[in-house]
Amino acid sequence: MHGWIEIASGLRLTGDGAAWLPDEKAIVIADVHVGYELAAQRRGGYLPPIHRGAVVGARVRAIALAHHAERVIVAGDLRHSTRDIDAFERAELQDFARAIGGDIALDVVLGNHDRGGAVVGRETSGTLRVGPFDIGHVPPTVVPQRWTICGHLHPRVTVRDETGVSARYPCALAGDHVAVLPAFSDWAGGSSVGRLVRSLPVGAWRAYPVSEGVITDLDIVIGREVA
Amino acid sequence: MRRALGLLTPAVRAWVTDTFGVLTPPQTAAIPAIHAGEHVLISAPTGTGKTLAAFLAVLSELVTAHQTGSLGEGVQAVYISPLRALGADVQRNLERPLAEICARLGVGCGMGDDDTAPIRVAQRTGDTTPAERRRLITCPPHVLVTTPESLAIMLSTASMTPHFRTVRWVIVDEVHALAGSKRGVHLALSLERLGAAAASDPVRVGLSATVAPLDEVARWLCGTRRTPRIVSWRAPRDAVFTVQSALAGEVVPNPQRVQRAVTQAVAARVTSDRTTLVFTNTRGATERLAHRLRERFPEHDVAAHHSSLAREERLDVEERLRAGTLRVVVTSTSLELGIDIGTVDEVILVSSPRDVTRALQRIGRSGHRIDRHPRGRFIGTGVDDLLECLVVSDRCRAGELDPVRVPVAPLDVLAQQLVGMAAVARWRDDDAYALVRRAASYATLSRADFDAVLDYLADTSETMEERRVYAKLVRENGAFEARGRSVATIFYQNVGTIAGGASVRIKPRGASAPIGTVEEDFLEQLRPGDRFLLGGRVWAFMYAQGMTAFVAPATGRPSVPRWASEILPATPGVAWGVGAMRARLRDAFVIGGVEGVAELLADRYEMAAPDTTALAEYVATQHALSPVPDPDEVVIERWTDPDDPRVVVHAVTSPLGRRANDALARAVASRLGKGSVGLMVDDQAFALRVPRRAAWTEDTLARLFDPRDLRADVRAAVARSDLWGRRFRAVASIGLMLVKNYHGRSKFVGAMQMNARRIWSVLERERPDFPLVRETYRTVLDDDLDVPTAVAWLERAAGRVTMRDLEGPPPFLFRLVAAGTTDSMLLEERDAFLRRLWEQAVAASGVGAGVAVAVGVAG
Repeated sequence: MHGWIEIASGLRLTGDGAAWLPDEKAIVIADVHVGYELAAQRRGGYLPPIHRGAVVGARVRAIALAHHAERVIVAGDLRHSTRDIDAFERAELQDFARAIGGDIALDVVLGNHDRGGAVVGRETSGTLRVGPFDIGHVPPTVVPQRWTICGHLHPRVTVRDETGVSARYPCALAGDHVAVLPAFSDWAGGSSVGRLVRSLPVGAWRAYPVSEGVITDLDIVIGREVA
Repeated sequence: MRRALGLLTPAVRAWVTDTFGVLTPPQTAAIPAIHAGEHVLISAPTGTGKTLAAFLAVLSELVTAHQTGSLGEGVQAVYISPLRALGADVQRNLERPLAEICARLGVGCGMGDDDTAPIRVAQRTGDTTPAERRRLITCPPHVLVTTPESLAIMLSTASMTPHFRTVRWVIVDEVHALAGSKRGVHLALSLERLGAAAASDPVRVGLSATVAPLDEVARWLCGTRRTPRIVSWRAPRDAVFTVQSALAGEVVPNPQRVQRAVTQAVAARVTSDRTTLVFTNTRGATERLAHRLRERFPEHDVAAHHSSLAREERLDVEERLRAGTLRVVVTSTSLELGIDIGTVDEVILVSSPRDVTRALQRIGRSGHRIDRHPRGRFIGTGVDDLLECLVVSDRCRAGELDPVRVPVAPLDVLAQQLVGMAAVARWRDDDAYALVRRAASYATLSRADFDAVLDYLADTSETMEERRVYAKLVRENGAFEARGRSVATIFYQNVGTIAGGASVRIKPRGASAPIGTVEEDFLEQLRPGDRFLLGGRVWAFMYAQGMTAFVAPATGRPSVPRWASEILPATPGVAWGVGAMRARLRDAFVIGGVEGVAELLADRYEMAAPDTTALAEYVATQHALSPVPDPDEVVIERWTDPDDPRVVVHAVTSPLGRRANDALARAVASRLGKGSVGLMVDDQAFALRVPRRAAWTEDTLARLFDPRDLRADVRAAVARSDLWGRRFRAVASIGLMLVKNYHGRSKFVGAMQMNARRIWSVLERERPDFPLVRETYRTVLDDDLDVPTAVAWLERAAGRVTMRDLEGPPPFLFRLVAAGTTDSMLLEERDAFLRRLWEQAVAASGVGAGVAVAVGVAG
């Protein structure tokens, strides 16, 4: 079961951390960071191979199929490592693309980690127009004209109940014509929404925590007044 | 004694009789045993000449060998101490005697630069310079003085290992401080490695302050294949313990009063003693007190000493201590003072030291003159603390020590040492397994666990060999070795078992200096406005910039749990003592009212009014509101949270020590089955904050407090809190999974350290059998928490569980409640938690008005 919340006409945020554009038959994900484990190992840290390209790709395919999407758009940071790509990383990205399947189109908007190009999929620098939406990587600093879907920030929010128990979740952020997706990668670090809001356009932002296919609106509003 | 003296070679014997006249009792017992080649554990109070005992025996053998021309090259004796301040202790016990003995023999003595001296001593510690280290290799000393970490490094240095072939004695000092920790297990493995590197099994000599149980400690020292002689000696003259109250008639004295009492105690000593030694329990308390004493005694040199001091500062304080110019030293760790501090007639302990062994070790720093007893003065800084001081002093007098426990087969330490072993040699799996199992801690290590650790280090889950970027080892044909030369470097740079976490500075806005630090992952979960405790005050979080968080002073109770990781726990024995003391005071009250209690305190503890009255009224008020239970009864007191009527606080009085109460609280919470629970834990009690709809009923009590399956329930419970995640970071560091230093610290490594908690949540879900996941569970369940004490208590209670409803928290629980929630547990899955919060929000506000009704199904 995949839950979703519609934040604008034709734009739904899903419980798997994607944006679903039903009219465009497309899903958008951000900050996949394929190759994170490899990069960790190169820096002396050990992470077991849980999110290899093939595994992540299969997950993305399943999400696409569940939403009858024919197109997957990555809003930046498909790769993790910012070094020149090597054979291992290339192999993982190709595994990723293969797992998505030839029947689903793959678009990659380049992010700051995607140095040297996308390697797989159709690559776009800057912004990709999809129907009435703009897909980019880094959020805009002023309110845009068209609805913009992006990533880069890896937002996380802490929710708490009356006994003081709290849990921290990746979340999507929605503001005026801007939707920031949670990081698709399980490994990638995140930042608290409280800290992030200062790098976003002035105004109110809603945070939607995401967990195991469930996305909820708990009336979490954060904002920044003009200083 | 004559026999022992007779066993010493003449030059050494003459030095002893000229310098001291006599041997101390521990020396008399130890020297013959060492001479006979027996393994020995010497347990005796500080100041009884243990260290000298070991060195005298060894020096005697070395001098004899030199005189008969049979003293070869290579290290003969290794002396290991956990202290960072090795200098003065070694100087007094080894270097000076050696110099004087050599002078009698008419030979040059071998410290410092004299490589031609017949008997040479040298040190290798974290402070040793590269030049000094190189000299160790080219001109190895006969006596090598080192620390556990430096020993491990040397055992993994190819140019050093040949020098260990000739080792005949291994002396381990401060055994009581090592045996019960992972650091001790790490050293035990190093001792086995050293044994394997030596041509014949060296004699092991362990030096320990008074400690229990001696067999456990002896087993730690000697492993499974050797039996040591145990030399245990207790001073016949009693130490004198005084308990002083800083209450001045108030149950909760204000901090100024406490400071005044401490200052007066110091003033009484500062002119007569060369050095006045003051112990506190935390770094923060040390700094504040030192500051206050500096102001009060500007004419004297006052300093603070603790493990977080920069190296230069630390050495400077020690130098001033040695020179006798430092009149007052305030410290929180007795360990660091392995220094001769001259005449200290009385040691001052501010607040209960929580542990009898620690108390005796601290007090043992005093009374080293022949005609003096060790003297300790405890200053109780609050009513509960005062009771605990009384208990600790009673237990010190009776010699009731708290037992040391050796951690069982920690897999993170094993992983680190296997890498160290591989750094210098190729090992057959069977041989390495056999070596490891000689250490007592690993006697029960299964071959499967051993292989799992090797598989992790060799990354065998990755089928493509070239792809094994992480791998430290290569496994093939039943053997393993290092994968590349950088493995040794990684080991050297990451040796050890002390894992530090990233710290965030807390600064009030506008202040110039931070008021303290919190852990990085504590900060991660804060939202603006959240209130937490630091340094005894409540602060509201505003925002963070990098590694600094800005706060504003706040009122009211803390709103987020504040992990009390830096607070020392009371031992079960001490905690139980407080429970028993409260019951005795209750009995005195029941019989004789407030006067009865006051009389008891005056007679037994020489306490005076108005403190006796204050304590008596404390007991009286409690007993009137809610009768004081016996320590072995399970009594639950509950009340509606005054700040939030939706919450009912259920508190259990359990005098078991914080570690056992933490285990018990989590198990009981887990047995509630659903929802979420806030936990409050201290040494005397624990409490659960439970939503009113989940309040306990009489029928559920038996199930909640059933001793059966407690460990399993604790394990399930810990999985639902943040406790694992925090502990995982330390385990991952020790096990070289997230190394602290990798070819110069990279930002990525730093980021991974900070993300340890999240890495844990993924790892634990996907790879629950991963060795370091299992080690995290073991560390928390067996080392951090105390399940056996909790089980024993519930079994004793055997169903005597009662519950009372109160209007609010009773006096005995004020301290627990004031500290705020220490942790919280989610008893449901993370997505279910979100769903529940949403349902509550909908119910509270009604549909509409800002709550989106939005969970649809995509077909």
